[in-house]
Amino acid sequence: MTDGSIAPPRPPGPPGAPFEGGSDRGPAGLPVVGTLDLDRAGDATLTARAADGDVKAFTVLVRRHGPVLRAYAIRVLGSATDSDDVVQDTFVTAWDQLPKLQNTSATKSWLIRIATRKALDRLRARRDHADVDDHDVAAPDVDGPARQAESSERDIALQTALSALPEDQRRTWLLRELGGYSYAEIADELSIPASTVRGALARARKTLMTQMEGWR
Amino acid sequence: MTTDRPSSDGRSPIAPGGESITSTEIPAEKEELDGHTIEELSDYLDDDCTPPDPSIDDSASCRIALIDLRRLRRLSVAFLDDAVDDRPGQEEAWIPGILSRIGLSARAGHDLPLTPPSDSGALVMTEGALRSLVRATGDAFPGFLVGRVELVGELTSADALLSLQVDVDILHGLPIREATEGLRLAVIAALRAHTLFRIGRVNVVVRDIHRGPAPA
Repeated sequence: MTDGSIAPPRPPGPPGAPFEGGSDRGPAGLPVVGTLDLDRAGDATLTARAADGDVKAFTVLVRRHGPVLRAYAIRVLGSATDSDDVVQDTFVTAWDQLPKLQNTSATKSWLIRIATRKALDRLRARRDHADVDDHDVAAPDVDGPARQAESSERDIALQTALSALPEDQRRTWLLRELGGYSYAEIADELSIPASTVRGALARARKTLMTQMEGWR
Repeated sequence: MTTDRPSSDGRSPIAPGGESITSTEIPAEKEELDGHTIEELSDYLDDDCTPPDPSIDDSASCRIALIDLRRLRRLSVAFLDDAVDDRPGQEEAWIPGILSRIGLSARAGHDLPLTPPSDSGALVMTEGALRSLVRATGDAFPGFLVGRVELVGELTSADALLSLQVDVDILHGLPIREATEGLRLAVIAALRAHTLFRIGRVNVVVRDIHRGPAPA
């Protein structure tokens, strides 16, 4: 949404009044300096409106954060399969939780946390079906849907290195590096001790540093 | 941002065993890293390498590890960014699916009486509709965008005392006091026009000020 073209404001005053901005006066005799639309609003305002039931504000949040949530889901899941479902499930849950949300200023990290749970649920479901004990993430599907084509060789190398990590290391690394979780939050999310998080993360980083040597 | 300055020399400023280090998980690593661990170096990087720690900065092996960690960070950021679907409008496809699954009625809240009780029927308005009325009234002011609308009062009878807090974003350039007072009066007028509630305090709180678009 460009801000260059400002739609003429629609004051609640009598219809047909000239209204071009600049020095014209709006309702209550106020100068008109432009309009604020939802696309320009910050997350806190949109989240507060959505909590009050404003679906339009909510759809702006979907547009704004959906693409990154989907990217995050792809990386946690290891493929694009199910990533659209994770995004949609995330927003459906978010809508339900909105009225109870205390801190409306951290919308993105709140959405990431919901998406993490949705993605981990999918991984657990996959593992239950696939009967594999540890490696719940398949090696990257290089020949997957066309939408994955933008994944560079470098990303494929990282995905491959990740998929070879033990589960606790991989998940810890994904939540920390891509999800922006703190150690304590990871411990909480994965139900493991904080000391385990620290160790797993250090080992994951060490392995990935070695595996990704030479990639810029 | 990064501080990849060249090494002055490779000596370690810490005599082995001269410092107490909390993590003892990976002893081999501590030898390699002059008494430090990957965890510590990661934390150091998280803090933008401040305050400077000479035992890290003066260690060649630590500096090499920091370079590797930074490289891995950049790869992680790209890893997520590359998975973002940048086809315009792709996220629009999620919206119908999400909207079809969210419970709009959950936001309606309590029914508020619009008329005194009568045998012939009752007129009520939901809390959600009342909030929506306030939002629409405020949004109609050019340069305003309403955030949260908080209803205060025991609104169980048509002539109950209703107080409100209305959070707003406002466009830079409007005279804030005059403009918010105009909005406050408009909200009061709208409530008087549509309900029989006695209107108590109506507070308008400016939460955010937006800069206007750059002049063409």
